[in-house]
Amino acid sequence: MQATQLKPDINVQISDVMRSMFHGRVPVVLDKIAPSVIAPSVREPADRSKPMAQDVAGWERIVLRRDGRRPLRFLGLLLWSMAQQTPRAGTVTLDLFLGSGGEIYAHGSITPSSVFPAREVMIGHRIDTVCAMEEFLSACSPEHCILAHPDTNLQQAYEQTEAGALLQKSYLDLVTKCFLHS
Amino acid sequence: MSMMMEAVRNDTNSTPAYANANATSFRIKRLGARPLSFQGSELAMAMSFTPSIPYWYEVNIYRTVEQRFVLAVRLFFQSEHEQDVVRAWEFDSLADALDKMEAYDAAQDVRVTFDTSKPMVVAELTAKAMDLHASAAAARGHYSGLVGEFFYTLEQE
Repeated sequence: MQATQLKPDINVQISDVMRSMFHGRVPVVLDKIAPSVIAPSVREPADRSKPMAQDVAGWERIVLRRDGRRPLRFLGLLLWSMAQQTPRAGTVTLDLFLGSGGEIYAHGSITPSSVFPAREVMIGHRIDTVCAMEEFLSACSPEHCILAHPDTNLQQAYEQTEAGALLQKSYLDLVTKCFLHS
Repeated sequence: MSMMMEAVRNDTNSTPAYANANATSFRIKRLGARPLSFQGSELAMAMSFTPSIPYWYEVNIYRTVEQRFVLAVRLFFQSEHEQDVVRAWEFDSLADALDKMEAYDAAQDVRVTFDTSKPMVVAELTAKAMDLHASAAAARGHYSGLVGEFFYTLEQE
């Protein structure tokens, strides 16, 4: 099978003006500058998959990327983290965080192997309730990351389906370990 | 692939007094609606173009000289036989524009490619339905990856 990478290559360009407006620092209008507002400093970790060790009274400022939604942003601690790699399919990670207010956050990511034309999946939820947990478990499915390509032949489709099944099993294994450990 | 938007340099002789000298005139042709015309500047852009994928999304956020915000969601195709799709909205606040970006359902851009007037047996119809379902899921996944990356990048200070 041809090892073709078909992961969408995402390019994001955000102006300083918009970034300032979003963070409420400088409400800039086109023809005049309003007085600036001092915002609390927030530094992001170089490795976006891990929280940064900037302690604020013992807690870390955590930003969790998730598909299709604004990132989860809170003060908290990493409670539990595990990654499981399946050689022919990809890597599944599952993290649990404790927020400074006692809430629980779950963050899962599924990264298919580079062999498959598929994009990664990132899901994050606050899981204080059973419904929220169910939503999180159903949202993070490996089948979401398999990107169908028009030229995919039957063999490739079979291999993608097989990879999806392997990732699904890997993900369920992690979830089981997570709750057995907790 | 066809271009759906024109950007024309600001004509200072016909612009309102409050308009910034650096503002650009935009005219966004929208699917099923009148073109959205305004003067302003582009605040942000995100796109998911990949040469080997037949389509990609591009989202743009603009601020108008009236201090309103425009969100444009564009679907481009590699093939010249496909028609690009552009949807755009105007909002009073940046938060409303970002909410719309988050809530946009990419499944509405999936097209029915088979002839619906042609009789089909149940098995064929089921296969077509599954293919359509998979296409909708792929479109949603593609768009949500773009939006997730955009919001995460926006959070960086």
